[in-house]
Parts: sequence; structure tokens; C-alpha cells
Amino acid sequence: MSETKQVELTSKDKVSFKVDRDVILMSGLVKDMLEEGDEDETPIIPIPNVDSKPLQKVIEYCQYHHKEPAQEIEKPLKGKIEDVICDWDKKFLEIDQSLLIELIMAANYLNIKDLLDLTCAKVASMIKGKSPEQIREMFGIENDFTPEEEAKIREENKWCEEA
Amino acid sequence: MVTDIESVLFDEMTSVNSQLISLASKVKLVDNRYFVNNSGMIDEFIENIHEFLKQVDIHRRKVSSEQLNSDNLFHIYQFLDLKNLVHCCQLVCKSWKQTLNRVNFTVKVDKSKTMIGQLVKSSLITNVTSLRMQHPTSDMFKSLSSCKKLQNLKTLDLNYSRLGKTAVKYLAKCQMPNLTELKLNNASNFTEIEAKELFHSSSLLSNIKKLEIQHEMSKEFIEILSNSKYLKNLSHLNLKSLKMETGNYGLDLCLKDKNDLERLEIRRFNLTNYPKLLTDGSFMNLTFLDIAHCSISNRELGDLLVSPNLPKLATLHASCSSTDNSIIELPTDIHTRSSLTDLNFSNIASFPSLANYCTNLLKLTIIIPSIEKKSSNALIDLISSPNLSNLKRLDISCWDEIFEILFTSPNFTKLEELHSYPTDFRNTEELLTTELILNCKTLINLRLFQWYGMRQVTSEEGEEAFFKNPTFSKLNFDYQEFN
Repeated sequence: MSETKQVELTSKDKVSFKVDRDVILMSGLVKDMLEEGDEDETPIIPIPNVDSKPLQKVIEYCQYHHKEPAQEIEKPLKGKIEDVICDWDKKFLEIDQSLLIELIMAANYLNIKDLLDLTCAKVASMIKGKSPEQIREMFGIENDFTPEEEAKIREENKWCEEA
Repeated sequence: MVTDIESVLFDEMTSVNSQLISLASKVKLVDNRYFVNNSGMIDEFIENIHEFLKQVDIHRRKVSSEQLNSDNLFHIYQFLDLKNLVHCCQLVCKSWKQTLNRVNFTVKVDKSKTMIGQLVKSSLITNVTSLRMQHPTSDMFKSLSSCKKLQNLKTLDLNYSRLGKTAVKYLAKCQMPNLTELKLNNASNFTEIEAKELFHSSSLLSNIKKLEIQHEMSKEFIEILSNSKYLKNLSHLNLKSLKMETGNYGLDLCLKDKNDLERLEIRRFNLTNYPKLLTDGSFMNLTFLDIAHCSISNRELGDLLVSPNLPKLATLHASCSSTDNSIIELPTDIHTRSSLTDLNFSNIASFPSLANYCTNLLKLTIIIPSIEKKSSNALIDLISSPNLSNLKRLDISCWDEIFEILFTSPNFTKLEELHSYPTDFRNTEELLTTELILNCKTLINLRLFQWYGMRQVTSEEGEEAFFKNPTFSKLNFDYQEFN
């Protein structure tokens, strides 16, 4: 029997990763690219929007989940994300915030729905229950509302039961 | 291009970096008391390092927040509930508020908690696509009828609402041009007079595609629904009578010309009043049919399975009150119904050749609390069919013979969920033997095994056998599930 077919991915910072074709087919983008092209021995696919660090994490995710499909995450999250994901995913998400955001960008670009759901749900879980001020601090966001604008929004929100 | 400040920063950091490495090695050599004697200078030094780290961290956080574009933020919002979105995310900054405009809201309005008057004045009212009114008063309907910004509302849930004359008067005036789904289950004070006002004179229903109504049905009530010009294009109809139909209510007239129906649920109608109602070729687009608690003859039920006039039927829930319990052998010269993936034939164990028609079933439910000898043989024949080899979920009344088939047959390798129910037929001491559990090699994909009923399904040794047999490695085992 022939060996498992492989694909070579090249990151934005020109690092190459050889991955089993079956594994990386989890990416809708790669799948479309492979369908378009000829069946080369080891096709080289440039991933110009993703750095090597997040790309390596993406490959790690696909290597695990192409055999163990992820369970759908509830929308909206009722509790913490840790309550609804498997142990492997919990360990996978033990990363710093900037890599987590890079992973969201990568999952979006590479069109890997389950990874996009997992990473976005993680950020949502971090935001949940925080005040606007705490969220701003978490992401280094400047408040561009005037006090009057802020008061008007708060007044308008009264229909919705307080969080 | 690298700017001047960046180049200066780079050079300085490189130089400080080497100094820090050198400092770290010297620190190891110095006397311990040195740090106590020079604490002022040391504290300032450490403070400056902290300030530097803080500034770097602020930049890093800014970069990550800048990468959170509107698309990604929108995706994150999907995992947050309404309160977090409205009270927190909306107030973070202007771009976060703007992204909120793309999110669809499902809002529950309760007279004691939510102020409908303020909701309809809020700029977020256009986000509301689904609205559920809980215990609404006439005043709440009045507020709703005054709102001109409900153009995105698609679903209105009025289940268990009081829909008297005044409420319906305001409801009929509401401007919801894109309303496609209306739920009216168990509405009180909703007599034929109010029904006529709503179904005959209100443009509220001009685009309605999905209607749910559970009500005390009468011939007059059904007639009002039948004559409504707004209900011709329904794709989903859920018509539940609270009591078993006592005479002929005219269900056939109500369903006449509703050829677009994809999903039909009818409860407590006597289908023997309407021969061939569902198989006469009017419902070629039907994918989901639920006739639970309806009365129907076995022959008609067999017709639902084999009729070529229901070519898209994927789900058939027919937990019916069958009018006879004779064993029906279905004809053998008819094509199989590969579209059917979900079948509920509870209380009907009279179709031993059922599986010959449904070759692609993913979900099968047959629950019969009181089963007779001939029906039990029919059920054993059915469950032994190799045509059930695609099943992922099985809900079934079990006794020892059924368990023996389930745990030894090669047909259930794809089965992920087994929900077993007790029956008063052949209640042996141990329904599922330890030997069967230990020797099972086929149920390799079983994730959930649930037993409903008071007595235990197997012995303590049997429960332990699930842990010993590697076949059950995927089984999410919970002792409570045996109770």
C-alpha cells in the first residue's frame, strides 16, 4: 500500500509544516485549494495570513479532531466553556490571550468551523460577567463614548433585565 | 519601514538585555545583606521593570483587540447571552456597539420583568427577530401595536397567553411585515370570535409560513382556519387538539390545497374519518409527519410507510392509538423508502416486515409497555433485520430476548444510544445477563445506555462487566441511569 499522502503548508514567516492530507482537509480553505489543483506528490500550500506559532496549534488541533469530531458548543454559553468541552480541548486552550486571538484569525481564514467555535467560545467565556471597564482593560480598548452617550445607552437598556 | 524611534528602542533593548544577563550572574555572587542595605534603589529598579512590562502588555493587548475585527467579534457574540451583550459588550466602545447591530435577538417579554414600552423605543428593537410574550396584558399588546420598527421580527411566541377580545384587537393591528412563524399553543380566552378576527382580518399573518396551535378544536374553529386566506402557503403546521376528536371536524378541508407543507403535526384527530387524507398525493413535499395520539387503522398506517405519494418523508412519528392490533404484513413488491431516517411506531408492534421498507433508519422508537405474544414475536422479527444496520439511536421496550439480540447481533455496530424501556412481557429475574455484557463485541460505538424503570436491568456484576469489556470503551457510564 502507498504511504499516507501529505501536504506542505508554509506559514507567513516562511516555516514549512508537513501534514497528512486527511488531517488538514478539516480546513475548508485547504480542501478547496486541493480540489482545484492537480494531485501533486506533496503539494505546497502557502498560508500567507498565518504565522508559524498559530499554524502549529491549528495543525495540532486538526491532528486530534479529524478522528475525534468535536461536540457542538451551545449558543449562548450557559456556564463556563470548561463545562462543555473535552479534556483535550481544555489543555489546548491553555495559551496566552494574544495566541488565542491569532488562533481565531487563523481558524476564520482557514475555514475550520469547530476551531473557530472553540476559540470564540473561549473568548466569550472570558468576557462573560465582566463589566465594560474590565473588558476594555482585558483587550486594551479605549473608551470612545462621551459620558452623555454612555448614559443614553444605559437609559435605553432598561428594558433588559440587569445582568 | 522601521522608524527612528523603533530603531532606537531596538538598540536600547539589546543593550539593556545584555546588561540584565550580566546583572543576573553578579546577583548570585553578592552578599545577601546587600539587598537589605540598598532596598530603596532596588525597589525603584524593580518598579521600573514592572512599568516597562506593563507598557509592553498594553501594546500586546491592543494588537490582539485590533485583530478582533467585526466578523470575529460577531462570532464571539453568538456565545454570549442577551444581558451580557446589552449591558456589557455594547458599552465597551463604538465598534463593539456597531457589531451588535448584526446580532439577532430572541427576547422574552414578561410583564413583571421586562418593560415592553422601553424595548419598542430602544434602538435595539430592530435586532429582535424572535419575541416571546409571557403572561402579556392588553397594554403590552397596545405598546407592541404602536411600534413601527418590528420589520425584522420573524417569530412571535404567544403560547399560554390570554388572547381575549382587546388583546386580539391590538395584536391584529401590529405591523410585523416579515413575521413568518406564529405560536398559539394553549392560548386562553381565544374563542372562535377572536380566532376569526386574527385569521381572517389581520395582515399580521400575510407572510406566515409556520403556525403552531394547540387548542380545544371544534368544527367551527377548524373551519375558521380552513377559510383563512393567509394560511394557504404554510410550510409548517402544528395542529393539536386538546381532546380526542369526537366527530368529523373537517381536518381534510383545513389541509386542502396546503401543498407546500414540509412539516405536519396533528394530534388527537380521528384519522379514520379521513381515508387516504395524507397519501392522496397532496403532500409531495412533506419531510416530517407526526400523528401521535391520533386514531388510525393499521392499513392506513401501512400506507403511510409504503405510499409513493410521500417521497421526501424523513421523519414519521406515529405513536398512535391503533384501531386494531392485527399483524400486518406489508406488500413485498414496493420500493423501499430510503428517505425515512427517523421512525416512531410506539404502541404498534404489528409490522414485522417494517424494516424491509425503511433501509436507512438512523433513529427508531418502539415503546410498548403492554405487549402481547404475537406482537412480541413481530418486534423480535423486526429487530433481527439486517436493514437496521445504520441505526444510531434506538428507543425500545426490552425483555431478555430483545437484549440478547441487541448484544449479539452484528447489525448494531453503529448504535450510539440505546434507551431501553420496561415491559410487562416475560419479566425474568435478570433481563440483561453478565455473560451477554462480557461477551459483547458489536456495540463498539455505544456512548449512552439508559434504562427507564424502577427495577435494575442487570446485576452488580453486570454493571462491572461494562467496565471490563473494552467494547464499551466509549460508553459514558452512569450508575444512576439504571434507576
